[in-house]
Amino acid sequence: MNEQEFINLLQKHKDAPELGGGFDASHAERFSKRFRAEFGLAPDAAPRAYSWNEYADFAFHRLGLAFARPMAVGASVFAVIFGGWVATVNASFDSVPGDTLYPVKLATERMQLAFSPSGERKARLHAEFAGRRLQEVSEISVSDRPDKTARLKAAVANFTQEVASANEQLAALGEESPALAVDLAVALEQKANEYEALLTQTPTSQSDVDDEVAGAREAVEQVNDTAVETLVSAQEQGGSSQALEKNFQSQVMELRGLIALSTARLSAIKSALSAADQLDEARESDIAQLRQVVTSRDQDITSAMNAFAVGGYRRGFELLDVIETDIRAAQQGILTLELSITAPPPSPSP
Amino acid sequence: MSRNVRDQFLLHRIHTQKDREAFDQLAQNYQGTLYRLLRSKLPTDQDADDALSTTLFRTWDYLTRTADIEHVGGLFFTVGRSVIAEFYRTRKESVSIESMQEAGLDIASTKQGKEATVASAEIRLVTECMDELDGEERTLILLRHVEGHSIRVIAQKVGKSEGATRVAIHRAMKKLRNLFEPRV
Repeated sequence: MNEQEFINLLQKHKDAPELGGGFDASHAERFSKRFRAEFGLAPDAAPRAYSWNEYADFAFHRLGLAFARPMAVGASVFAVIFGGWVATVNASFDSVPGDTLYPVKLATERMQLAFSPSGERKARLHAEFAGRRLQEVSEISVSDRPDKTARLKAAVANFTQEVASANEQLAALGEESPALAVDLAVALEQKANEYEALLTQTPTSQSDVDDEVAGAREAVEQVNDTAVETLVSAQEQGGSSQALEKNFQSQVMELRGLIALSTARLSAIKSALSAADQLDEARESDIAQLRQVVTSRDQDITSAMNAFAVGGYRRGFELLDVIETDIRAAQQGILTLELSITAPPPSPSP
Repeated sequence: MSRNVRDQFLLHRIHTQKDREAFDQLAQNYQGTLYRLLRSKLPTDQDADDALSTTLFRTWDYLTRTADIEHVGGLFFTVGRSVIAEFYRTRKESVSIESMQEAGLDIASTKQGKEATVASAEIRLVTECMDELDGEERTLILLRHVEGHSIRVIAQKVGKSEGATRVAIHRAMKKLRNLFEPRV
């Protein structure tokens, strides 16, 4: 029996009950009446005709689904991908060099930089990231993480890099758009001062990273110099001297603070040596000499202020730089004295 | 309005408004085919009528609770097959003579003569073979070769693509013939 013959056989017996036959029109009507009655509908009622409003309601429902579903799927996908990324990025904020998530943190920052529309914005971002690097230095130095020295070196090097990048952006902006560069210079100069203070306070206690910290300080000083240079240039080109004056006053106050601090330290050293009956001639001479170096700078500050007041802005800042260098050198001498009186006495020879 | 869109409209009414009229209209479209599936597996017309009624009530209950039914035909057949399975799990062992007669056991057959005997044998043979098919294969054979629906209509009813339906029917038919031929 071929397939067609077999199909014919099925067709021949299609009304047999064994093949499900017997549901003719009268049977169907009987069943429908019974079902409608059981279902709570009038058995003999004609099928209900639906209105255009009901069809329109259905059409709007389908239309809504056609748009709402893809949008919901898109939103879900976006939420999963972006949400996951945000969670990872958030988690990476607390990471430090050497951590698994640290590259994510850096990548996020690079992305921010890539999408920054201007050099000014880039410079501000570099300054902000430099602050984060310093925060990392601080966290590593007080933690018990393995490879602490390597991590510290990396963090300080990254800080130096960020500061140098900010400096480059500032220098470039100073040439392209001096007006814009003034605001940035003021902001960066403030940041540089903060970083300098933080670098001094950072409890690295790791002599292995001294070179890196010195490099970082140098980078910060360069930012300071560039900021001052930018302000001076802007003023010379007819810009406002307000920011420049503010910056100059700030530096003067800082230097006077350094002089006061150094003088106080010298007095304390002298008192301590006298009390311990160790104030010999050599030490007294060193103290007097250092005091002379420090206090005489006060007069130089006055000269710098005079130069600035008559329009010699560049000269004024140059004098302040020289004064600061001298005071820092004197502070090294003060530190040596302090160490000499706090060092344990030599053990008696047998 | 195409049948599928009409079905979707009625499904929307059922789900959102609990519209019994809409379900009745939907059931009208499927009850003939559904009855054939049920009757082909159940012993009597009365059993098939009861099973059809149960199938419809259960499908109504499901549709009022569930949105997004793409192929209501497939749902009817799935519920129908579960009703058949339940019938055989719970049916009483005792079978009435009337039901045996309706089932074609010819205890006091009114059919007479050689022709009737041959027809009865052919039907029994086909039924035996059909009983060895699974539920979907049986449904497809009934829809295609007994009811004579087109592939497109069957695909809509069972909720498959036309290609998949064509292949499934071909396989079911081949299986049925392989079961049938050794017995002839």
